[in-house]
Amino acid sequence: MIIVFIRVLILYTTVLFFLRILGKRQVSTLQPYELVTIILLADVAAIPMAGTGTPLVNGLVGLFALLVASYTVSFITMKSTKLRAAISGRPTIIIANGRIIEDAMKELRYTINDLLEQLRVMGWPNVQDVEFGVLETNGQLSVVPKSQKRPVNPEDLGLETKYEGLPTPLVVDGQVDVQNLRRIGLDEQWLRSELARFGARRPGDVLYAALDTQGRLFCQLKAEAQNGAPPA
Amino acid sequence: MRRYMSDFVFYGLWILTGLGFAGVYWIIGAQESVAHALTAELEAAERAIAAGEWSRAADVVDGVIGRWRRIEKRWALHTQHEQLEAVAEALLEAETLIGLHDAQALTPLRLARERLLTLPRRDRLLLENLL
Repeated sequence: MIIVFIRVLILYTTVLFFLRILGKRQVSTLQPYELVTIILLADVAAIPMAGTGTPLVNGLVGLFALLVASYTVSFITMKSTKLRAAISGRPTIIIANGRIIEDAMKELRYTINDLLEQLRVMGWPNVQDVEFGVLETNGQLSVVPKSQKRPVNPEDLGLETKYEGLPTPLVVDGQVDVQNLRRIGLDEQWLRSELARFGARRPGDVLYAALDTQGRLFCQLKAEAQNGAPPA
Repeated sequence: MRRYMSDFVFYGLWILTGLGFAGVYWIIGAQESVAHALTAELEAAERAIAAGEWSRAADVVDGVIGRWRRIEKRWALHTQHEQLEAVAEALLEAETLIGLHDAQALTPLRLARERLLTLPRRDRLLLENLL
């Protein structure tokens, strides 16, 4: 029992570590070879997990082989566009100018029902509202709506907008992000004096503080530091 | 050309794989030499039984069992445990039959020999093992 417990912990840590090496794409949008890796990872890890008669090393070697295979394929697809197309496929246009391309649908074995379902999920119940519909290599449908049907944006109305960059987090859960502070040319002394204006005696009292591109500091104190004061 | 961290990880993984392959071959080589040494001793025990020297056969088999118990712990790291247990079982059966001065002890001794020689062979990069 203890052996199984420890084996599971070791294999869990190993799979987690290998998934981190494989990168973020692995868990969000799966290419065919990435899907194969995920399915096999679970299977290879499961064998030595329960079977204590199988050496743990055998399972770890299997996981390592999968890591090497998957990493090699992703490395190759990065370097060669031809191999990328061969391994991952190419995006296919299935709607053009508001009309479904039947041949492309048949080629992909993608039914009209599948397409309509995807369009409804994405908020485009009418095919004729769609300029282009592209089935991506990871199986997701991308939709480019007709210009008359897409939401109005400030540019359409001729409105000027101010630049909106990303706010820079300076304190997260009481921890000062020194790197971010340096990046925007500020120091901890400045931060402490600014936080004091919000009633924070030290950065440890702050739940989250960030500086936006307009120079406005947002600061929310931790519940225990607020003492009934409303959040700033 | 600029090199990225992912390039180094890729090369690192293949270097590790190459080292792993070399390590496996080194382990197989070591296993084979141990298996040959043990089988030579078991053959000596078989000859002793054929000559009716039961106490000498018992001493040899006892020695082999002692060595096997030490080796088994290391081999268990990379060999299926039931395969190791099969060798231990055959050796213990042979030891019991030798204690009874029973010539049938030759059968488990030969079985143990064959199993010992098969263990490293199973990890060799051979078509029969691959398929």
